[in-house]
Amino acid sequence: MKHILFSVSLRKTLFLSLLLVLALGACKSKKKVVEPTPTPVVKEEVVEKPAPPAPPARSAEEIAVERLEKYFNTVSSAASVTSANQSIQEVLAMFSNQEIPILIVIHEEGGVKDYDEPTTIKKYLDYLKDTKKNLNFISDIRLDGSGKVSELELRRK
Amino acid sequence: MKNKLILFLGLFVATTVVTLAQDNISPARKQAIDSLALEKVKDLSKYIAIIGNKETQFSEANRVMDRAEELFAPGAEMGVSSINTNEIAYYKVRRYFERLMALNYDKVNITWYDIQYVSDLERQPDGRYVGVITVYQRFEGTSIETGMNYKDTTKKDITIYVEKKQTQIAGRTIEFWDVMLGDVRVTETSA
Repeated sequence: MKHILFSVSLRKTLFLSLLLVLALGACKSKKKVVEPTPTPVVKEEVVEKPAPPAPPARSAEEIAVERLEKYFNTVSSAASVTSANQSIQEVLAMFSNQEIPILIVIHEEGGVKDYDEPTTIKKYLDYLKDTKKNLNFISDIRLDGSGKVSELELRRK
Repeated sequence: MKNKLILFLGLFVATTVVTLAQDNISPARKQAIDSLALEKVKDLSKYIAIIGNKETQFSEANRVMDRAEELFAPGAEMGVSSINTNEIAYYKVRRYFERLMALNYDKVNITWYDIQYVSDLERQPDGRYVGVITVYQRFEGTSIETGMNYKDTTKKDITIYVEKKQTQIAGRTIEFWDVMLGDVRVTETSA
């Protein structure tokens, strides 16, 4: 009787031990599954975008046109004669002399230009100051060797 | 009857062709010339306001007088009226500007409005274009000392002459439209 009891107990113990081993093994393998897998390092390919093309360097003529257009607006909208005269002096410094002729195209058709009576830069600036209207834009400009305006053609807006 | 009709049509076509040949200016080009002349009258209105303004410095007024005088044909006259008399006096434009500058008021305000063609520019046999522009002028003169306050509105007709001319600019021949203002006639005066 005692032998049977011992053998059952042994079997039980062995069985339990087996279960324990299996359980431990299962736990281990489960732990292995849960273990975070290292995320693959996605290498961001740094695609070097081509730099936008640098704006072409502006010519001296383009810079002069921009400055003159601003000055023409300033003179025609000046709040006082004094401030208009100050701007006029600054504009005149851009010209080789104050008698530089100004041509104003009032119409063009078939390559033929119709002009207003030619004037000078000094008179034109005074005209802007007196009438307070700036009806023309610069359509052509020439600079001399020292960068001063030597010819100017305007056109009706 | 049929022959007469053909003759009439023939004459009409011939006249039209001759007229077009003389006046070979497109409507767009004509409009540009019309606008140019109208703009000169608007310029004159600005000059007159500056000359008359008592706040204008003497040197500035004289400079503007020169510019204003350049707008006129030689010998052009300006009419001056008053609500106190039926008489209309005419002065050479320079004399008119000088009188305007010397008016015995402390404050003078002159504005021109409703500036428009009453007679379109039309080509004359001599090649010039002639038209008439009408303007309304509001004059207000105030004298602080005497308390005198004079106001009137005058309607004025300005004859316009436009002629194609040539000039040499930097060795180039430039053809331009020369606009000249003629006499300025007073046609109405009211308070």
